[in-house]
Parts: sequence; C-alpha cells; structure tokens
Amino acid sequence: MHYLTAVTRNLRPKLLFAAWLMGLAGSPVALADYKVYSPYVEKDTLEIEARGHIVTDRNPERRSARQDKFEIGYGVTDWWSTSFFTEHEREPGETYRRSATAWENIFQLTERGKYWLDAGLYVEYASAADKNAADTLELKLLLEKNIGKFSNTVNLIFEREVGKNASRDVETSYAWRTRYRWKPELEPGIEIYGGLGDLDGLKVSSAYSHQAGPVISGKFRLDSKSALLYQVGYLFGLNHNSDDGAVKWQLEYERHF
Amino acid sequence: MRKLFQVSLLALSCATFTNVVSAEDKVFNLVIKNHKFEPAEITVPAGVKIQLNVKNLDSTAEEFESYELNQEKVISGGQEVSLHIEPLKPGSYPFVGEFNEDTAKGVLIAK
Repeated sequence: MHYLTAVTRNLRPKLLFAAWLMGLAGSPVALADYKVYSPYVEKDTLEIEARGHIVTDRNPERRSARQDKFEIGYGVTDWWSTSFFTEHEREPGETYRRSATAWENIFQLTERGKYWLDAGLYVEYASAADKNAADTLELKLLLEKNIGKFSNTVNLIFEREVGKNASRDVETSYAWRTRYRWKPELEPGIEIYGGLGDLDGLKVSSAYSHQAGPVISGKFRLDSKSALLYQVGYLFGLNHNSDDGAVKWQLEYERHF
Repeated sequence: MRKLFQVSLLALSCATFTNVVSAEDKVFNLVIKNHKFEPAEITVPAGVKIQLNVKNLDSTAEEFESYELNQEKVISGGQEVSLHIEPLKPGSYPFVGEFNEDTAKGVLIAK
C-alpha cells in the first residue's frame, strides 16, 4: 500500500486545486478544438499562441466554417500552467465573431518518464459571448507515452454546459496524436479526433464525427530563451457525419524567464 | 456533480495506475556550477531505465535540454530535479543547458 500513500500525498494538492477550479465553475463543457494537449508543464515559461482551423466541404452549408483561438499562458510552477484565450468563429453564411473567452489550466500529475505512463489534467472554463448560450466546463485527462522516437499522446475529454440554459449531459470525446521525433524543426505525425457521446452511453458511433490526418510540427529556437513553434495539418472526415476535411494551423511564441 | 466526481476518480485511478507500474531506476548525479555541467561526461548502462539527478548550484535558472534524450526541464537556481530516462540504446546522447549553451554542454554515454 506504500505506493498508494505516496501517490495520494503527491497528487493531493494538485487534485484539490483542480477540484477547487471545478467548484468555481459550478459544474462541467467544451468547444470543438483540434489540439492534442501534452501533460507536461514548463515552469517560468510564457506562451503566446494563435491557432485555428477552417472547414473544407462540398456542402456549401458546411464549407468555410472556421474557428480561431488566441491565447496567452504562463507556467506558474513545474506542475501548473494557466492561460487565457479568446475564441472566434464563423459559421457558413454568418459573420466572423468572438464566441467565447476561456480560462485554461494544466496540472502535470506525474514526473515525466517516472512511470510507465505520464499523466496530466486539463481544466477549462469557457464563458460564452452570446448571453443566451450556456458557459462550458471541460476536463481532459492527458496521457503520454514515449517509445523510442515515437511520442504518443491521448486526451480523454469530458465537457458539460453550465449556467443558464445548460444541458445536464456530460459529452465525451477523444483526441490522439502520434508524432515521430525526427528533428526539432520537423516532426511528422498523425492526429485523430472524435466524439463518444454522453457519459451514460459511451460508444464509438457514426452518429458522432471522427477526423484523422497528417500533421507536421516543429520548433525553431530564436535565442537561448525563446523559440517559435508551428503546426500545420489536414484532417479528413472519416464518416458521413464529419466535414470532408479541415485545415488546421498553430503558431506559438515561447519565452523562458 | 456525481458525474464530475466519477471523472475525477477516473483521473486519480489512471494516475495511480501509472505509479503502480513504476520500477526502481538506477541513479546518477550531475551538477551545474558556473554554467557548466560536472561531470561533463557521464556513463550509464544501456538498456535500463535511469534517474538523473541534476542540481543547479548557480543562482540563476538553467534549462536541461536534450532532444536525443527527450528531456526539457527548467531548474531554478539552487534547486535539484530528477529526470527519468527510458532505457537507451548504446551510444552518445548530448545535452546542454539551454540558457548558457556556450558553456553548459555535456554528453551521456550509454554502454
């Protein structure tokens, strides 16, 4: 039982803090996001990020929908990073507008490489720009396993609307990334995203959209304390409920203090 | 809230699982002093997981960085961190102190 005692002692402050954040929100949701989160946190590091995706589809009712996020975050400790972002969307035939403002937190639960699997917890509260729309709380379990030059990351995602007009369902989804660590400036990989339904009836179903495709990412050092990171990819729709495809991109400036 | 509790429990269970399957690592020590690694060359056994304790004796922060070892960790001045490195194939694995790369250089040799 000694390992359980050690684990509890190690995780208690992190999980209590995460629980406090959940309590602030009242209860748990999320917005579609083509990003796979790693469980690792870098202390004393500022991150400024812009990312988004644009839908490509033969159906004009889906075509050209886009979503962008602009984010600023900081690694407060070696196990907690926090950030704020604004989300902007354009539905087909509608104007481009801000759709939400969110507070995002990542808790690194285990030391990198110490155990067979690295784990982290993501907690996000998003305030909808539309006063008639519910806010959302999103939890993600972040898992990563490095095998040789392959880095494998899985996110299990739970989201729930909160506040006025909120649904009581907890929607679940997943995100997967495997990347080949070829060289810092160029790492090819594959990403897969999809829905799993509400928490009471989990299943991989064609009723939910699933996307997968190639992604390349990399990091260019600017000087000893700053770097520019990029990611670009194309996700193919895997079933009739998915868009034909989506182009995703991400640009990030990172600086250590 | 019951579902939230279930989700939290799932996260805790998963994190616990990752701890259960851990094993004892072979431990090696490294020091950062005057923006240099001591020793600058360290030999470790190939094929076994190792723990590398890195103590930063300088007053300023340093970042242990090695793409080859898949490690990246900021170490505050006067602090020590433990890096857990997966079993390595025989070979040389360079590492640097990214904030002072001109002087903070080293290599880990797996035999």
